[in-house]
Amino acid sequence: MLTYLARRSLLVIVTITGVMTILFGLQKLAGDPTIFLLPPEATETERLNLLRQLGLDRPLIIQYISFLTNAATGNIGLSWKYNQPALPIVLEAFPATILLATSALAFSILTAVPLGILAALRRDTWVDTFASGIAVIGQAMPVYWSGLLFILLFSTTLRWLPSMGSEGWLALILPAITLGLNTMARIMRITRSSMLDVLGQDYVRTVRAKGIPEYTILFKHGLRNAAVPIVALIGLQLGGLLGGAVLIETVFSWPGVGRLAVNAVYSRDFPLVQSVALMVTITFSLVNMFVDVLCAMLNPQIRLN
Amino acid sequence: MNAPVFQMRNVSIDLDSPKTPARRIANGIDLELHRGKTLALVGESGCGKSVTALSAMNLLSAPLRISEGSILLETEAGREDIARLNPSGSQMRAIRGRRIAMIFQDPMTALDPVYTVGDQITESLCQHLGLSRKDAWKRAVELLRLVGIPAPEQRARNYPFQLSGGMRQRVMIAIAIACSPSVLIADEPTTALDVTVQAQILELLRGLGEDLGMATLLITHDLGVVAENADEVIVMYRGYVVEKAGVDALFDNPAHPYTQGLMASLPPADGERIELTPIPGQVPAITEDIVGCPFASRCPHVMPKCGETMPALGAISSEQSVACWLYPAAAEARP
Repeated sequence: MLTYLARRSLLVIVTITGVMTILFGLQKLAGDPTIFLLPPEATETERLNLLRQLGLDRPLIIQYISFLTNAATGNIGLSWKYNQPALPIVLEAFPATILLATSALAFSILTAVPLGILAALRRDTWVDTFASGIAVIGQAMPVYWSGLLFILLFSTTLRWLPSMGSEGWLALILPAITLGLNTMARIMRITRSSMLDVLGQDYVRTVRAKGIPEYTILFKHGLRNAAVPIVALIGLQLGGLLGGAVLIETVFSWPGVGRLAVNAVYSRDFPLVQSVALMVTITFSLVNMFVDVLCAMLNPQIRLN
Repeated sequence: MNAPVFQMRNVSIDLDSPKTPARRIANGIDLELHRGKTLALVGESGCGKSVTALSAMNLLSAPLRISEGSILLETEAGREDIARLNPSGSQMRAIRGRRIAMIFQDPMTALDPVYTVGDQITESLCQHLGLSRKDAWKRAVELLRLVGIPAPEQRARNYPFQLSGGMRQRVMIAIAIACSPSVLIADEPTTALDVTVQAQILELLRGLGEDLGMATLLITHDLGVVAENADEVIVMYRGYVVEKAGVDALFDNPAHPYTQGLMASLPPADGERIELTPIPGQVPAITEDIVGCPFASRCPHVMPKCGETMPALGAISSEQSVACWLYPAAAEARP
């Protein structure tokens, strides 16, 4: 288990380094930043000065290495727009995004798992049809569209919930549900199929032949065995949630890193974009590691080998 | 012979289908199990053996169901017809694993992979006998010792994947006998195992059956297993009991042409090399409608009458009955 953890941590570091390399490459592909950082009437001397100031006059490989070593110490450079360290700006906006993503995740798990179990138990009945209908809608609607529809219905027409901002719990409801809808659909589908698979297994028949009550069969044996693919999927979905947050935060004016990233892209604030990407990568990698460990814990065959 | 502890009387099993009429998978099965004795249920794949076994536990689930007949179990409280009980009700649950226990065919898949074997044995002990976790665990270790697992204290903490197939089947047996049931149903308990392990498992089952006074229903397609382990034999074909006999009578004088065919396709025990005679053809598919005897299409002695009606089981001696028109004195049309 310890070697597994060590190996897995190493993989996280490799992943983050890889992402940083891609980010560095993308920045180079975007071209010379001095052109849009300086006013059009700036002289060539001013441009070269800025280039030196940003360290962009050095050889590429030196730039790359200093970029990585700086990043390792949490220094991504100054935000070109705000003219202050980029990473702290992101860190300040990060809790709002985490709150949104975890609320969305909580919403999707709490609705999807019971609904998935129910659909598996009442297979081919109206419950099952209803659940798969929800799943299709949840997966087919793009978040920016479902978000606008929800605003139209719950904020504009019914006036139940605020459509923007981050004041109070009510403001969290619409963005969290919108963001979690797609994840909910996926989790529900895998819960249903995984439960159906497990409940058809020989060992469930064995338990039934032992005279064990159905709820014990369902939760102790059924859900416990079905949990591994569900947990694995939830881990993967968090990436989708963080990505979806970029759109959702814009639609609902939620002050998180998603909106920050969109604005940073508009103003070509590369250090800020890189800081957002770094934070999302780190979060995603750590969550995935946690989920992998959790899956290993759930499966004795992995745990003991 | 004393009164049977378990009886199936005229049990029929139907396969319901939303579009076509229900199909009969088993027709009027009669069988009796006695304390300490083993009844073997023989037949090839698809003849209705396993369905009959599951029905004995009232474990059939839709679209299969017991459509008629009674399944009588002797308990201290008297005789109970478990075919009348709700299959998922609490009364049936109190019988399963407590009065009637079952061992399944494939020990590789019949144990829950995420719990230790000790935990899986304690489950029914806690459920039926109300033992505490600690006492149940002690008892589970005892049971593992009883079924011949070395170092049972350590093995109880193992997960199924850490045990060999033979060991897992021993665990299954330990689970089955945990609450000292009066009836044990073993559905092809050795089919998935190595030949050398097969013999050990069967010997264990026979010994336990005699020691604990359990009545055993042994389901198998292996006549060698029957000859070694059974006291009585029932031969099934396409949902019908075609012959019922004491084990010696059956092997000395197989009466039904199907039983004779099965015997002829067995290699002789003395190792003499002879040409085996297979039964031509196949078991008719379950979707096929059959009038008369289902074996008629493969029977070397087929008569016009066979295509019209299926005879009922009739006695040809004190310990042998057969359902075949070749024995006109015994045969009569099924009601």
